[in-house]
Amino acid sequence: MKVNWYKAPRNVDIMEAMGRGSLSSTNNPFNKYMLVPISDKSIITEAALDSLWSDYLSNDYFITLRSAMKHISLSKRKQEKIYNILLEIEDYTANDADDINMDEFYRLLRKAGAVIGGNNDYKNPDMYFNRDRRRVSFDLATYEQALTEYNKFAVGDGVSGGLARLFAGHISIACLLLGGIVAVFYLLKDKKHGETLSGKSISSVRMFTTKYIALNVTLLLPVLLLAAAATVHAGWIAKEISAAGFDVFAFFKVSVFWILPTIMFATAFTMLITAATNTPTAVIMLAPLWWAQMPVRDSFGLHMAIINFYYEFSYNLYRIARPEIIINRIFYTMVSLILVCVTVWLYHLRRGGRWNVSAIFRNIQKKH
Amino acid sequence: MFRLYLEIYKKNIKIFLLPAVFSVIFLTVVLFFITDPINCTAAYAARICQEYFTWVGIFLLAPVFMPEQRDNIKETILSKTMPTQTMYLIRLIQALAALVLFTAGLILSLSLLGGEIEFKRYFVHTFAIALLLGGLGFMGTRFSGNIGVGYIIAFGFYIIQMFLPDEIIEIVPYIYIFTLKNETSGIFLFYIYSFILIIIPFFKKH
Repeated sequence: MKVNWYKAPRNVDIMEAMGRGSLSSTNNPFNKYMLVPISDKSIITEAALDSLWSDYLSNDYFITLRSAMKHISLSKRKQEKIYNILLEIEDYTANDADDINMDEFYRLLRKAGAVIGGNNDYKNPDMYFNRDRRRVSFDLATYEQALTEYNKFAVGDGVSGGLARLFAGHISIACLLLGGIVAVFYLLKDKKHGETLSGKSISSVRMFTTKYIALNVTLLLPVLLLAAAATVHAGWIAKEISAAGFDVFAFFKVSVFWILPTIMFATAFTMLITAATNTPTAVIMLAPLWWAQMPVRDSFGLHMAIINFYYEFSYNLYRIARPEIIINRIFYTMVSLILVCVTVWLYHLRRGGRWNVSAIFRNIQKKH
Repeated sequence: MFRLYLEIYKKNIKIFLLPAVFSVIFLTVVLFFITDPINCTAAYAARICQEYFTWVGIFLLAPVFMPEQRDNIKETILSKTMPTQTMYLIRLIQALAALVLFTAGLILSLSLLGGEIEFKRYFVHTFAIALLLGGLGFMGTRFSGNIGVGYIIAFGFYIIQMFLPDEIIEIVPYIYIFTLKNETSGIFLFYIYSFILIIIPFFKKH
């Protein structure tokens, strides 16, 4: 059997190309034009086949399992199955490009995806080996295509829109972890003044809500400062490329509507555990929450506590995913408020001396 | 004298080591569940070690000064004739021993689960990163008197690493060390910085 060695780009090449195409770097894509998705059948099939061949030969498959990205090796039996599927695809794509039915081609790739297991690109080939999404099928744009992309970015997105989405992702990563840690030790400070706080006439609802709002505002302030700095930087980029439009408030909008719910969730989640245990256990509980969010990008389901975009030219994806993002942010705001209500109740019990975890453990030990 | 040190060692197991070890066991179990490292490739094993497991260093080394945050323990320790540094050194030794054991355990289990791993390389790299992150937490806690600050310094450094520009990754300790071209000098940097971070807090009195 003849193996066709195509020179189609691999994942890494595309990531590099995207890095080079970054607006923040010195080589801005509008001087060199940028990469655009290809819709040519033969190139898509060649690229997908090349990707599967190289995965098979190196026995290194990229999958997502329970939100974690990982590379796995397959057993000999599974490798044989993949090899047979590869032969089948080779036979099928040996026909003329016009005769290739993409649905049939995708069906074969899905078969390989099922053998590999987990959630991999071959399982959703129409998404990954086709237009509008990343991976494989990219080419240098013609002048007209580059102009269309430019118009989307500069006019539709107001230049700062795409950069603001990146900003939101990066800052949320930091806020989810560091905000959570700050909240834990802020609430633990109450331990030292426990008696004084219990004796005050102020209601627990008012006391805790004040603490919660104060903490969230404090955590949001540096984000707004960074947003101001980022706006100046984006303005400079807009000037450099003589953009037709510029959205001054893009960074502030994402700070309030995208990053604030993340901060609210992180603080509410850690404060609940801290109020319940009165120990810094919540810092350790943040680990699985943060680890699960980290490797996933361009995904806005309810399991994602942060909104993280892959790169700045994401206007198309943003328009498609906008309703999903709005639902996600409302969901996390609601969850945070529910967690705050539960925490207020626990905080009230603790203040009245009716909730003390160490005393509960001591009682259990005595009984035994 | 030896009996006294042994007694201190035993006491510190209860007030410091056990809570830290429990948290590390929890983290490791969660790590195995989230990353699912069965039959992982060398690159994926490297990611598990450098990005996820190294948090263990922070949770073992940062709480070394934590018992002193309770006033009664601090007063008891300060009233003794023995220098407080001895107490910290004993806890540090316990933490480092636990870190060595956990790191070796993780890498052994990864290779037993079918990962393609060179034990020595993975151990040295993972231990170095965990030691540096832990060292930052260790120093932050010592000088601020608050473990929260230690955690924030260590995790802040970890997060900043994600966004470091390529130009400076050769001169600062870069935690994605398996991706570096010159791993040896990278590792050397890690151990030098960790040594400094762990030694300096001992010069602070009380």
